Amino acid sequence: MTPTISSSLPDLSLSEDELLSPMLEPKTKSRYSITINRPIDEVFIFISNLRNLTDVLVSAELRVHDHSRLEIDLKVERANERISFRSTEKSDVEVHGEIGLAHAPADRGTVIALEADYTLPGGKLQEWLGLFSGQDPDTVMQIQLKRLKSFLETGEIPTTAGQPSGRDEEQPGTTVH
Amino acid sequence: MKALCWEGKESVAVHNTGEPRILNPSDAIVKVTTAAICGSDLHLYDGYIPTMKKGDILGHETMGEVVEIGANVKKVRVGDRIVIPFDIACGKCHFCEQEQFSICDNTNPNAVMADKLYGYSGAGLFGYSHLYGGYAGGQAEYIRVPHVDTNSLVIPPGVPDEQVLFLSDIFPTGYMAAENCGIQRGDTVAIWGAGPVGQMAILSAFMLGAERVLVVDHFPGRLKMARDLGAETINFEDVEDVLDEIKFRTGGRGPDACIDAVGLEAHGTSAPAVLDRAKAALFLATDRPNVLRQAIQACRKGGVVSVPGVYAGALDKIPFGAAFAKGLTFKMGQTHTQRYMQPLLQRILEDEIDPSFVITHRIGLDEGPEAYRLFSENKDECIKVVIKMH
Repeated sequence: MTPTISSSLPDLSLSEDELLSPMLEPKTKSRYSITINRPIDEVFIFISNLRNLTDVLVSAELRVHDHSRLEIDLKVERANERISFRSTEKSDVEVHGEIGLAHAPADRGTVIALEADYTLPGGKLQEWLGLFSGQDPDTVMQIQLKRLKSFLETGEIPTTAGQPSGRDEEQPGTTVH
Repeated sequence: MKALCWEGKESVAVHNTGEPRILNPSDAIVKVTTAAICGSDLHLYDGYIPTMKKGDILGHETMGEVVEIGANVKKVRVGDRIVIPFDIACGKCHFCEQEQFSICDNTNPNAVMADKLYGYSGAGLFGYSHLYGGYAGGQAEYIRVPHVDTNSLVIPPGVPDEQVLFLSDIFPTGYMAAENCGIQRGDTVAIWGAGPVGQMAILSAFMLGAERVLVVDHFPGRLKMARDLGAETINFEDVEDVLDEIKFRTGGRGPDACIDAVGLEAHGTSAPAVLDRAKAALFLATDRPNVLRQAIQACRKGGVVSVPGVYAGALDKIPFGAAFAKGLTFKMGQTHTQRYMQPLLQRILEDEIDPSFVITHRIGLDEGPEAYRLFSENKDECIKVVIKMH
C-alpha cells in the first residue's frame, strides 16, 4: 500500500520498551541516516511537510508529555536534495539542522541523512530528558526515523500496544471472537 | 482467552487474558487450532534469552482459522486455514524483496534496542522476547498476525493440521540449514542435535542429494529416529572423542558440511562444555557454544558450517583460527520461513514427506506448563509437543 503524500505519521506513544531502550548519555547533537525503499520524490514531499518533520525531530508524545512547544521554520534548499530547519522563538526546544536526501545505489530507495543540534535554555536539558527515563533526542530521532521508514514502505508503523498478555489479569480483557 | 505465559526462569503458566484485536490495517486475527512447543522455546524457559517479561505469551509454531482481517488485507480471507511463520515480515522492504524475510526492516517495534545490541535489527518474532518486538505468541486460543498477506500459508481443505503445522518453523529451518550447506552429489553432512530441527535437516540433506548424514546426540530415542531416516549416529557419551570418531568415519577427510542444530545450550561432558555450563550458571557467559566449536573443528577444509541453532550473545573461545586455516564458509541466521513454506507444502501434498513423524506428545493447553518441564528435562523421550487448542 502506498501512503498518500499528504498523510502524516500517526501519533503513537513511545512504548515501555522504547523508553527502556539502552540508556545513552544525553546528546545535544544528533546525526542519523536511514534508507527508505521508496522513490526520492515521494520521500521528499512527505518529509517536507512541516508536521511530519516536526514529528521526526521530537515525537508528538514527548511534546505532549512535557508540554514543550516546538515550532520550526522549514526551508527547502533544493528540491529532492536538501531541507534545512530551525526552531522559532516561540519554541521551548531549540533545534536546528538539515536533512539531505540522495538516491541509494542501484535503485535501492532513498537515503535520508538528518543532522540536528538541540539546546534547551537555562540548563533544562537534563531535567527535560529525565522525564523520559534516559530517552535522549538522538534515540527518539532514531525511533521516529524508523517509524517514518516503516510508514512510507508499508503504510503502517509496527506496534504491539494493545495486545493481550498474562499481565492482563490486573485489567482483564474482553472476549470478542 | 487462555494463553501459555512466561513467568520467569523455568516457569510457565496458563493465564486468562484479553483477546487480540486488529491494531494495524494489514493484521488478521486467527483462532488457533494447533500450536507446538519449539526447542528454541526452551531457551526462553531456561532463561537464556534476554528481555522477556513476566506474562509474555509464548509460542511461534502456530496455525488456525482466520476470524477477522484488517482493511488493507488483500489475499487472505476470513475462514482461511493458515500456517503462520514464526518470523514476521512486511513484504515491502529491501530485504523482503530479496526474500530475506527474517531480517525484515519494518516489523520490530523495538528495533532501536536490537540495533544497540547487534548493530542492526532483524524481523520481529512471535513470542520471542522484547528484543525481537515483544509480539504475543501463538500458544494461545487466538493470535494477531501482522502483515498477514506475507505471513501466512493458506492450507487446502482436507490436510490435517499435524502434517502442515511444522511449515511454521522446524521444517523450513531444517531445510534452510541443509540448503545453506550447498550439498553436492556424494557429500557427507554431519549434524549436531537430533531434535526436531535436526530431524528435518536430516530429511532435507538427503532430499538435496547428500550421500551420508552423520548425527551427533546423546538421547537414544532421538538417535533411533535419526537412524530410521537413514542417518548414521554417534552417541557422544559412548565415544572417547567425537572429533576423532567423525574423522575416522569420514576417511580422515571430515564432513563436507556441518550443521549446528543445537545452538546456545549445548550439552556435553568435555572440559570446554562443562566450563561453558559453569560460566553460564554464574552469568559470566551468555551462550554455551560447545557444538559450534566441534562443528568448526570437525569440518573438512573448504567446507561449510551451517548454523540454524539459536545464539544470543558474544561467544567464548570459538576456534576462529581453525575456521580461517581451513577456509570455511559460515551460513546462519533465523529462517526466511516465507521463502520455503509453499514449496515444502507441495512436497507434503505430493506425499514426499510427512513431518508429523517427530510428534511424541499431544496435549491440551492446560497441560502446557507440565509439557515445558517434560520437554526441558527430556523425560519420557519428549521430542515434539503439539498443543490442541480448538
